[in-house]
Amino acid sequence: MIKRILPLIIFFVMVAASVVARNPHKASLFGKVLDENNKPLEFVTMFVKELNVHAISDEQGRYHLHLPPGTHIIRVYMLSYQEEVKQVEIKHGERISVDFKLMPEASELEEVIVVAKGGATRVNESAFNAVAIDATTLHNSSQDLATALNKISGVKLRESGGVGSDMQLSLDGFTGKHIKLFIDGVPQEGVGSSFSLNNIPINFAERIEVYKGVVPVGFGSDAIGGVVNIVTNKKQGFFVDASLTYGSFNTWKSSVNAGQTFANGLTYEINAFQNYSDNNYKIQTAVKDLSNGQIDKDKIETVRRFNDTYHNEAIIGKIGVVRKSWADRLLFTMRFTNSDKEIQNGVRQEIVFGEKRRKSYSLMPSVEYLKRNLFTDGLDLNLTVGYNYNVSHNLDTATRSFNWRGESIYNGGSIGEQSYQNNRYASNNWNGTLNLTYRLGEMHEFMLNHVLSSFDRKTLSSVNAADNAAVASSFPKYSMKNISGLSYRFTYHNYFNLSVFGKYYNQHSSGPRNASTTGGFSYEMFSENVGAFGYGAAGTVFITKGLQAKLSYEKAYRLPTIDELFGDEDLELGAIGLKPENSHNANVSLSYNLDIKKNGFYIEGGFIYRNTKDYIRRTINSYSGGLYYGLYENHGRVQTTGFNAEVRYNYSHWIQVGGNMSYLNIVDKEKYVAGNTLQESTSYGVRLPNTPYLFANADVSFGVKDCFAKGNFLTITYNLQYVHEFPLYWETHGNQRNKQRVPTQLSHDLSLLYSIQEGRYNISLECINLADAALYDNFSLQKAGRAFYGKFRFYFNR
Amino acid sequence: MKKRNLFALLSAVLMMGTACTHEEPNGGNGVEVAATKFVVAATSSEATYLLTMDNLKTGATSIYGNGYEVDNATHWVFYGNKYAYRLVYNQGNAGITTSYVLDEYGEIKERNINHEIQNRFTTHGIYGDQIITAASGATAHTDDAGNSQYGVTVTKINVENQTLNTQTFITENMLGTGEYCTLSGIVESNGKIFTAVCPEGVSVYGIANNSHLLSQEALELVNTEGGISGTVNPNQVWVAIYNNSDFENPTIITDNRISYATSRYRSQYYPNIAADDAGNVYVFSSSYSTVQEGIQKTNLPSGVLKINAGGTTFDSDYYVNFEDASVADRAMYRVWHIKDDYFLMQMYTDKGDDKSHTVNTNSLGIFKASSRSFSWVNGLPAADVINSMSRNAYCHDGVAYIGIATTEEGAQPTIYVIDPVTATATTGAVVTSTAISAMGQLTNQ
Repeated sequence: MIKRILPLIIFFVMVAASVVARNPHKASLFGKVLDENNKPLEFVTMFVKELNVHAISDEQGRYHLHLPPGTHIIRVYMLSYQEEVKQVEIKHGERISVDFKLMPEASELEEVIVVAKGGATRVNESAFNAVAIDATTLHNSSQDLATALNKISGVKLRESGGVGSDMQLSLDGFTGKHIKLFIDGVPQEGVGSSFSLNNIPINFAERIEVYKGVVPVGFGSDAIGGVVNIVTNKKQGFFVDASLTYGSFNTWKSSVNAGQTFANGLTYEINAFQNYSDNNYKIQTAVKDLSNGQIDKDKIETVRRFNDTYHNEAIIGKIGVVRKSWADRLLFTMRFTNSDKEIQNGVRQEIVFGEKRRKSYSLMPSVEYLKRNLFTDGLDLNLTVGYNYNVSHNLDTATRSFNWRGESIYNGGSIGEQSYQNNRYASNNWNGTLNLTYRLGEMHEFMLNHVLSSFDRKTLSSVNAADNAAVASSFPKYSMKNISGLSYRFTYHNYFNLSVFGKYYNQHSSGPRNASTTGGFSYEMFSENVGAFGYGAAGTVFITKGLQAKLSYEKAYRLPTIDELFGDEDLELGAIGLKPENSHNANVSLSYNLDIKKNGFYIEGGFIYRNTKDYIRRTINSYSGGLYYGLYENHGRVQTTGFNAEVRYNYSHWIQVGGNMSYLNIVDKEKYVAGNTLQESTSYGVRLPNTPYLFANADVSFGVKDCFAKGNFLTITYNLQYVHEFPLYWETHGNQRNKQRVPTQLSHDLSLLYSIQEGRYNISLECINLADAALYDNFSLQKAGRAFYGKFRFYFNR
Repeated sequence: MKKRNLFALLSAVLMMGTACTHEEPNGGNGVEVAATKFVVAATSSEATYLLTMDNLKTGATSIYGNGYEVDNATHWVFYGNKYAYRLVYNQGNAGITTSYVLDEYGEIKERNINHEIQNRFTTHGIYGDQIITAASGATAHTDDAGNSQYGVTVTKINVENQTLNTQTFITENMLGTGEYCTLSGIVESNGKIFTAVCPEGVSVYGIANNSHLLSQEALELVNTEGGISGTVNPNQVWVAIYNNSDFENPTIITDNRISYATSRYRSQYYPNIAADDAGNVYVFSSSYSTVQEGIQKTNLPSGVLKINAGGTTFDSDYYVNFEDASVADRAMYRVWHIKDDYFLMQMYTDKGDDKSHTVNTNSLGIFKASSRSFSWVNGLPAADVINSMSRNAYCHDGVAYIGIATTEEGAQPTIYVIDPVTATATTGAVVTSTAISAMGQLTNQ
């Protein structure tokens, strides 16, 4: 462990030493770059041609150039903006401040409301199949991050209930372990369920980025399907953002985000939020008669959920410095999260629990260091080191049996509604991310990224005494991943850029394996190494103004998790020699953006192709015909071809309308049944079951400026979501009359937002599931009916 | 001339604790012949499909476009040819038990009453008009120190009035050895329930309260959790005889010629107990404890004992050692009654102590209890090319049906028909699917 950290520590020390030993005789030019609305612009290039010196503006628009004395021509430019050129004279040892203001390239400026700006534009126009949404436009909504992600094309959220319920996010059909979550570029694997996308309020993020299929090297991870990156707010000056939401099913949510950056560079920020909901919405279900154990599925009753209360709390504190000569940013963060979830039903809604619950908390300290122009101009260093301690507690100790009316009877002495559990698990996760970027001139950029993450999990306490599972779980499971990436990007002005990259994945794991040769149980520690080399390229061309074409490809990998290698606490046996899953991912898209007077128009169409092999899955235990126990093996080939399209139109601030749709053809290409046999599979060529494959979103929004009073803004928004029905099991099997399907879903949401004094005070009213439809993301698990939420938000930023 | 029985009597005749059933031919004397079909439960990688066939000995069917789609079962139990029960234990995955009948058109129809079996049962059987499952685990009854007593929870589903009730009884020191137990196999004979009682180990409660019943060597095996995993009395067999399904006051009989009467597959305790047509109850043992070490390892070979019809003691003259070279030279794994005193036996393919779930058990033989003779079934695919066998054999009309999928190119799961008298197997219907889970017969009532 020390061996791995030591090189990083030495590097850190060298960095600190170098910045102190700067040449004191050079002069400094610094200042801010702003856009036409006087908002700071990030990632603007400041270039001094004859010296081949340049700088990039930070998230507050600030830049800093070290120049020899004399007269210099500074060129300032960025994609979508007109270039600015200024001549500057500077004397030896002087520090001069010069600000720049960039105008967008569209000629009509006044009332164009740009939907995506700054960082989001940069992501959307990058060569990668990436979508970014500006979350600040959603800050008055009571939604969480997952609901906002659900509106992006190709992204599908599936929840099993209300607030805090189990959720699954898929990118073009890839889900679960195939997609990875990042916050500000830091991987969030192993942080536990108390801090997850559907319990974090939208106010937490400034921008949400989704990278599909081909992932830039800056996200060091084995994400075979893609990456979701949440970029948190980076405000300047003093700010307070506080909100309170109350809504149906006794839902209370609140959040406070406040911070300040002083002139001397000291900065602090507090971010705290909580969610609480009883989730006691009504559902339709058959109810068990407790006197005789009968569940009559022909007698459907409407009942309220009664064991579904969820609450979580999080508090994040940051303190540090910015804009120092030795650090552009040095921040210490401490994050504490806690959650408590009552579990109302099993995987099928008919199975109801009255006391089962799950609790979890986690503690996450971390430190981030950012230095631009380290040693030499153009070399930026970003280093983050974090630790996460997470404890989860599963409780199933009831001695009563419940039905959907909330009635219960003593069950005679057996313990547990699903199976007796009073188990606590702890996991430790260390992660370190190092990003080194070097810009050579305006055209060349190199990036080196390395991510180290180590994870171990052990059982703190468990109830299964004389049990083999308990013996197995008393051994800790440990894994350490090292992922390195190197990329080169060539940029030709605003016309095209091309990136090529290579990644190396390595994982070392250890855990218990049953070493008995007589078929009994005798656990010993085993360890394994898995490695793979991936590569890819991404390019984009601006064919004419507003018309952009993109093409990207990656050979991506996913390393096996420690549960797949060593089994989980339920006596699943792991597998020796599991290879990483691998996939050829390709994306191609064309988009067109046109602004004429006050009309804005955008259209995009894209194709995706994924060829995934060596799927790690539990073997079909063909002896029992069921899936209860399994060994993990590499078995399976899946081919995905898909198409998505997006259209948007807006007329000034008055009206905005748009929609997107995705169609995915995800097909099983494995010819043989699992388990080393030449028996042909009956699902070859069939679409993957239980996966939504055709879905669409549409929205229309009306805005009234200076409504009732100057500076006040009224917005009315309508949202529609459509998911075409899909079968629970393989489509071609069984009599089509009684196949189980998740029915076609059509849901409507309506919201009203009134912003006062340019957004200082905001009141919003939302109605979710306006038509009170019976909505199911998963088979048999009904979501809430019509619900209302009201949110009050106060926002102040000086 | 064969006796002609009316339908009303069929369901009361000879229900054994296995999936093997006996039937008399139906119809006759002006009684309307109702629709009757054989039912095959065939699986895909995700779900199960109930297919209907007129004949299992010939023909072909497939799950493409065919079959009533249901979630996978933990076990299929055909109650005579009236109901097919899909028993599921509660693992959070589709833990609802459903049952099916044949409608007047010969199609599968689900009955409207479902049940929830709220534990992970490890054995099941039929008694009277009940399907009974049993599971062992910690109970809410504790001693003063808060240590849980272990017990068995039996779930009883009445197939006619479709009610479910449960009963929990304590098994601490049930056999006088200080250990807690589970039940394996539920067999009806002469109106009583015969079940094998298998000691599982010593719980923390057992160590705290009954350690005086344990030997010094046994106490050395206490693990970090405070209990002993696995029995310390592997060289004995126990059978409990209950007068009815109230599970009270059992007569517990024991013998030391065979080990405890069960075979293991992960958490399941397969029944090693079966009755013949005359009502004699045979108690087999796979000698599973060969996988253990030290005092927990059994030195008794796999064999069979007999309880004569109507009796409550082991017949001291009856003993067969399957591992003897003159018998099968192998340990037994599963057993089903076919007809008379013929039993279909599934054996471990190789000799040795390893009886874990990974070893090959794809060998079948016929055992004739009265002559104590064993013959391997010929006509089956070789044991090393068999990928899966249906979990239960279906015994009907004097033959046994078993579904087999092999690893050979182009092979699909096939039903094999085994004649016990000649110990030969012939190929029957081909069922295109991933595997055959179970077979039975349903008649429209």
